[in-house]
Amino acid sequence: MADTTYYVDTDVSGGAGDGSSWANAYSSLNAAEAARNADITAVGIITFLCRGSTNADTTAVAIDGWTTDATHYVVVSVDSEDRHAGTWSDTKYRLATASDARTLYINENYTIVDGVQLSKNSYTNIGVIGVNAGTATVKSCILKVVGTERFLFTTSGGAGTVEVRNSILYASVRYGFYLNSSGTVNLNNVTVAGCPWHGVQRVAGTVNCNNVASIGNGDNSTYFCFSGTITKTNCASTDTTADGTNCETGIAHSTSTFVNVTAGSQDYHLVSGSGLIDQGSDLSGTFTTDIDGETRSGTWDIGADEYVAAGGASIPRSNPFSRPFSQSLGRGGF
Amino acid sequence: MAELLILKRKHFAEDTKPKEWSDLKWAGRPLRGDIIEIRPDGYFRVEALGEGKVGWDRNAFCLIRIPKVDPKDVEYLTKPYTDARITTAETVRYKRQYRIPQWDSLSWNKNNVTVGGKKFEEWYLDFTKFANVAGLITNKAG
Repeated sequence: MADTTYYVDTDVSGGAGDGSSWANAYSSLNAAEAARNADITAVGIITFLCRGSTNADTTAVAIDGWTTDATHYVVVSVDSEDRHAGTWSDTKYRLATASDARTLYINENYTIVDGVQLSKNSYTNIGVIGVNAGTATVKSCILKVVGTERFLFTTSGGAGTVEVRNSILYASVRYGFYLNSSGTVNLNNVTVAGCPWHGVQRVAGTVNCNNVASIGNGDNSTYFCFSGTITKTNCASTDTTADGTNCETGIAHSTSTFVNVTAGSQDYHLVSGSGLIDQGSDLSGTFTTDIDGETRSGTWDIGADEYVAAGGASIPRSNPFSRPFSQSLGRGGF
Repeated sequence: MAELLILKRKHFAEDTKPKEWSDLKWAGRPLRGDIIEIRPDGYFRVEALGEGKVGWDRNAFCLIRIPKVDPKDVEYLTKPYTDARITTAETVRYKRQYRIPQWDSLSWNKNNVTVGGKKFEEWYLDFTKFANVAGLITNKAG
């Protein structure tokens, strides 16, 4: 059996609705996941490739009820033309829910979520993304709260490794990350900002932060940018809690650091002179690009974005589907 | 009108628990009759009637149509369920909380249709009011 791609298009009209092509795409990721739920250990990698520039995908999704293994797993990705460009866009594919379920719940090991915008506009105290799987990867994603949800990203699973990479999370009513799994969570080149309680809260398990920018979180009194026992390497904070190896503190949540921090218009790309530039460590053994797909070069920056000077060299984002999927998303790639 | 997609395809683990699954996971597995998605009037195309905008996987789902129902009022029927919150472990979990367990005994309209060059058996059913459907729905969480 072979790896299989199923197509999801929130703007589709007509068609068979069985995901076999763009013309026959599912109209929601939720329906696609429910229809294709299976034991895929003798099948291959199942990719749900999403697009839609007009209509949001508004039904919450649970990746659950599958049987997977390390080489046969579920991937949720976004077609290159409808993938965000590092800032939230209502004209790109987005999973934007208003129900009291998690926008995306990952309960199957080895799931990969790549390039998705996710928002939640309902308070239920459970998060925009909830990961109950021991092992999963979330990369190049943007998570935000529109209403009063208190958590952006939560973990609750068992043994394994959850990685979040090249992603931006902002505007929770309380927490950014709330990490309560018994396994390992690795946050690599993540920007988490604008959360009034803890930016990164470790409750249980092992938490490693590399090149993480936790900016403008907490009140520097009861709540902080980082909280709990966390191994921090080349991280940055507004308060003094980025206290690990080669870390930066006193980084402002302002336009001296990012393009725009105004509520509703956030753009967490770096600006010239940002204190996050050239302060990161080289993680090229794991990945080589930033949230925009631009190649990280020289001394890496902290956070999801690698700063490229205006008029400077910028390498267009590659289409991950222009080469075998196993080389681009499942095992390496951005 | 609200249109409800109901799971028709049998899940691979519906009858037998995979050995690597926990009891918790198996108890919450997808079941035929689960309510998967709810959309407004005219959303899903019924090929036999020439109505609707969007295709739906007729191998995986059947479709129930009910007039005079605001989809927002019944959106809760697509919810998952867990008894846990952020700081507590799960002891009960359902991928879908609501189900029509007697789905296969309903008087479905079954039409052989061809869409995009593929042949499907299209199952759909119109109800006159939501109360008639509500009586068929089971809340797994009790």
